Amino acid sequence: MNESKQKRLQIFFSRLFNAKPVDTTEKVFQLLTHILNEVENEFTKIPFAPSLWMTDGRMYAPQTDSIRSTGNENIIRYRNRSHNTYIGNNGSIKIITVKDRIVLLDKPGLDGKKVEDL
Amino acid sequence: MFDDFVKKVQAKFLHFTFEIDKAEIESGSSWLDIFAGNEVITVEYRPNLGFGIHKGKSNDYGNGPDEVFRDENLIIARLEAILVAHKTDIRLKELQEMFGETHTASHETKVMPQPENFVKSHGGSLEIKAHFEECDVPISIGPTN
Repeated sequence: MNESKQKRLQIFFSRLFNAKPVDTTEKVFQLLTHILNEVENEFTKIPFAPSLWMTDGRMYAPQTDSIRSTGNENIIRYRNRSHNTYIGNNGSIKIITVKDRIVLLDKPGLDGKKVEDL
Repeated sequence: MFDDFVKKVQAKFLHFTFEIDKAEIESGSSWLDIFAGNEVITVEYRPNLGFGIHKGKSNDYGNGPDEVFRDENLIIARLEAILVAHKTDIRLKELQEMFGETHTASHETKVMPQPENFVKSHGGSLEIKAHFEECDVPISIGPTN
């Protein structure tokens, strides 16, 4: 039985927030991708099939070509359905809803600085 | 393609607020957020795959769209149904109306067996998704909205 998306999302944010901090853009993107895939593999039976992302109901990490500049060379942004994900070059990550601008996750990098500190 | 689509949508739906988030990499998704009161309807455009409609839920991360369209006229007709007629869910009637705007041929409908009672009696919920050359859309079988 698949867990609800709401529950899977809570687990994803919890595991990502509590994971050991990292120190680069690439490492935090890998961390996000790894934890999201781990949660989806653990709590759904929907197979990992990125080519079916538009229709299969599984949650996927942002696609690499959804990257956007932010005007701050230390921060990049990825856009997906309902969220903007900001990633700092110190390994920080901040996830905000598009609709209400609610901050769902604000995890500092290894140096203790958050995205807004960069 | 995306720029033309945005212009058409903005010209047709004058009373809504729009935010455009265009891809910086050619293969990437571009997004059009349409703010309608307390709701946001998001259209995703991805080259070679077409348009997706996201209906404002934020209880997921990185999910695909609720409805997929590969025909620009069809998605504009669908946006009109959502934004103006407030028909968030698609029932068979809406599906017929939607195709009626872009197809001149009549579509034959047949009464299908209703397995929902069986599914509900076993604690499940039934989801029906219609696949066409032009779109993939879920069909609601609940009470009329």
